[in-house]
Parts: sequence; C-alpha cells; structure tokens
Amino acid sequence: MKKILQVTLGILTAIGGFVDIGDLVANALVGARFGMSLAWVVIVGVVGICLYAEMSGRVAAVTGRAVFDLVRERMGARTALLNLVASNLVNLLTLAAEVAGVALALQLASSVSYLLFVPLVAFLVWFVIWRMPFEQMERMFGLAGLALLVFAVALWQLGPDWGSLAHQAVHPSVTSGEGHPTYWYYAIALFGAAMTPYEVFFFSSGAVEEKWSKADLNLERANVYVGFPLGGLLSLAIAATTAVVFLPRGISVDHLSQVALPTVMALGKVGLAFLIVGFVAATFGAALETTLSSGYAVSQYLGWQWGKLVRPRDAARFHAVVLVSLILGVMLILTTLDPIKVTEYSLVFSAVALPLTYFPILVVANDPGYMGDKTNSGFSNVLASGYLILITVVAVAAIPLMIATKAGQ
Amino acid sequence: MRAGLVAVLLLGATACVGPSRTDGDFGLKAGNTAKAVASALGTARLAADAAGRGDATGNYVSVIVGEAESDASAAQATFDSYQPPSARADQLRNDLDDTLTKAIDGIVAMRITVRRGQLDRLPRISAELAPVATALEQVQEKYG
Repeated sequence: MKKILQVTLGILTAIGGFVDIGDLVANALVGARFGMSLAWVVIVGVVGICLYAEMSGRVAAVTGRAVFDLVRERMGARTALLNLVASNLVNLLTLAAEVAGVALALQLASSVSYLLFVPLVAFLVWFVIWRMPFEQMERMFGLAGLALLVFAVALWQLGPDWGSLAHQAVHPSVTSGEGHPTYWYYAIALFGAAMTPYEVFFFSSGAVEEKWSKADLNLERANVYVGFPLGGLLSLAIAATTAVVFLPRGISVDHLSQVALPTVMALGKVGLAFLIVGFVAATFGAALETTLSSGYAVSQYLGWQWGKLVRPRDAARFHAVVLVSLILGVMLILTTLDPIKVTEYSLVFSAVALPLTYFPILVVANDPGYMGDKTNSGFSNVLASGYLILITVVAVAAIPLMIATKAGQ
Repeated sequence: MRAGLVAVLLLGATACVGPSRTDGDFGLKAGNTAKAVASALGTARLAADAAGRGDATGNYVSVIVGEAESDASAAQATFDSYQPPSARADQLRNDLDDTLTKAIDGIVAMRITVRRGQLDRLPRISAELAPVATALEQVQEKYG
C-alpha cells in the first residue's frame, strides 16, 4: 500500500496534467469528429512526456534543484527569461481554463452558473496551496482523479465494435467532411495537451518538495511510467466513448457536459456521480499544479525562496506570485470568455512554447557537471533529439494551421 | 506588447466570418448551420432520452439542454446575418430558417420541461423532434 501511495506524485501530475480540462475536451472533441484516427498522437505524446518528465525528475533527484533553477544557471538569464515569459503566459491561460473547469463540473451537479463558482474555486485553490501539506494534496487529488477510470468502464458498457475502433486507430484517416488541415490542427492540439510545459515544472519542483535523492530514482521512474501511461489510457477511453456515441450521429463536442453524456448513457446516475468527482479532482489538481508552477518558475528564475515545505513567511514572494497568478486567471474567466475556447487556445499556444521548455531540459540532463554519472543514455538522447525536432515542427505549424482552419472549425 | 498585439490579431482573424458572394457559398453556409443545429438537437435528444430512462439527473439535463439551446440559437443568428446573394438563396434561407426555428422551439420545450422537473415527459418531446432532425440531415447532405 505504501508503495502504491508513493506513486501519487506521478498520478497527480498525470491526472492533473495529462487529463486536465484541455485533455477532457480535446480528446472528446477529437473522438467525436475523427473517431480513433488520432489515437497515435496520444501514444506519441505519452512517450514524449514520459521521456522528458523522467529527465526533469532525474535532474531534480540528482541535483536537489528544480529544472527552472538550473535552466537559468546553464542557459543564461536571457534565454531563461524567454522561457519564463512564454511558459508563464501559456500557464496563465491554462490556469484560467482549469479554474473554469472545476466550476463547470460543479455546474453539472447543481445547474448553478459556473461563473458563480469561479471565485469560490479560486479561494479553495489558494487555501489548499496555503494550508495543505504537499504529500496530502497530491494523494487526495491524484487518487480522487482515478474516478475518471469510469470512462473505461463506460466504454466497455457501451459495447462498441472493438474491431472498428482498433481499425480506426491502426489505419488513421481523415473522416469524410473533414479536411486535412483540420486533422493536423487537432493533432497539434492533442500533442500540446499531452506535453503541456507546466507538467515538467510541477513534476520536478514536486520532486524537490518531496526531497527525492539519487536513492529515489526508481521511485521517480515508477511515478513517470505509471502516471503518464495511465493518463494516456484515460485519454484514449474518453476519445473512444465519444467516437462510439457522437461520431455516427454527427454530433460535435463543445461543452464539458457533452463529454459526460456517453458515460451517463452507459452507466446512468452512478456514472455521472463518478465523473463529476473525477472532473473536479482532475481540474482542481491541474489548477493547483498550474498555480504552483507559476510560483515555482518565477521564484526559481529570480532565486527566491520557494515551495510548500518552507513556511509562507519565509517564501512570501513565492506565495505572492501564486496569489497574483490566481487572481489574473480568475479575472480572465470572469470576463465571460468561453472557458472551452480558452482551453483550446491554451493547447495550441502551449504547442508553440514547447521547444523553449524541452530544449533546456535536454541540455541540463546531459551536463555531467550537474548530473555526474546520471546523464542521459545514448538511446534517450536519440529519442529526445527526435522529439525535439518534432516539437519544433509542431511549434512552427501551430499558428498557421490555427489561422487556416479558423481554429479547427 | 508587440507579441500581445499579434496574439490578439490572430485570435480575431480566426473568429472572422466571410461574406457570401455566390449561391454555392451561401449553400455551404446553410449546410454548416444545419450541421451545427443538428448537433445541438442530437445532444439534447440523447440527454432527454437518458433522463426519461432515469439515467440522468435533472440538474445535469438542465445544463446540457440549456447549452444546446444557446448553441442552436447562436448558429441561427449567425446564419440570419449572412446576406443572401440571390432570390434562390432567399428561398433556401426561408426554408432552412423554418426548420431551425422548429429545432430551437423543440429544445426550448425540453428546457422548460426539465426545469419543471417533468423528466418523464422528455422522451415524447424528443421523439416528436425526429422529423426535424431528419430535415436538418437532408440539408447537410445537400449543401454540406
């Protein structure tokens, strides 16, 4: 049991980071429009995030310092500043979307407008960050997020044609009525959702908060190789439920409420209850991660005291950044911008910022001055370099495709 | 500052709606509108049927049907804002508008019914909307 609980950082990072509001909506939307023909993107994304999250966790465990801290030292202040600005802008959009996601989930349970929940949710996020110990926080939201496994049960209960789903996944093609640019636009959005930058910032900073050392490298790998594939599995299950129910009926997904509908049809009110718990846990967990990541990145860049293990009085500037980020995110959502649109844009802008996040991690993970004998293996470097090329192509193509497809319309 | 301005312009560019200059273009817009409203109607009908079987709570169905109503109304308002380029396009506009109004009226009826707590009546309203859904599908197939 203790060993299971030890992988909760990975589960929280994956449930909160891999199955956040962006993934919930993007996977459901893609399943409804393209069936399982973009499943390969999820798999490519899982391998990529496992590769780089393992690297960032290893760096944190070996050096006792989080990634952003080392990025500034190794890459210089200017490069790190560019990284900081880009990733924090994306992070702010994501944070706003996550807070709205919790509020939308509460709306499904109560039918009270989500806008009324937004300030309450923001207060609770701040309160949990301020008061709840890190380990308790990751266990509570990581494990509650497992309620989302109900998607897999619902898929089985819907009794799909497994052969057809497998065929769509193995022989990907653009469904009739959809264009190739739209297909590739959503491929980029899914990839961006899988490799969102805040996931590695949170994971490496969390490793420092948990005081991982070289002796914890196996635990670190277990977190990565259990958490993220689990997130990927959930993503595929979400896409499959909408592929089974919505694709044949020509229904597109524009709201969180629709993401739940196939599960409601399969499992009734019990399924809905599990989903709402899972939605709240996953989006709340992601709101915690994005809020903390803003504080982590800024504080690590500026060399301030940071973290939840430090008394708030001793990390006042870290907590101030956390609070300001949260207030900015709430203000954005209270303008009544459609939170789902904010989510979709955050995924694409996230794809644009990817090289700025992952290139420095690769450099630091190969520096024996920091890593000693724990630098990347040759195989890791070949794979990571391939991913870096892919990430660069994705970053360059994201905005032109967004314009060409009118954001996937 | 400059990056922010570029981001705003890009977001604006992706949200722009082009004018219709030919009957073909107007027909394409009609097909897309029919597709959007059919999607909203289909969602509302699935939720209504689930509620009728006792599988969904009133609060959940109220939210999903309310959102379907907003989506369908927005699609109709956008379609009505297009300038029909010819008398033939006028006819298409009038015909499709009638169907869209029937679909939206049906979704509104569902929303009123669910908020009165009469979930058992929803499947009947859903069944009555089947011909409207078929009519929307036909427009999609012809123009989409």
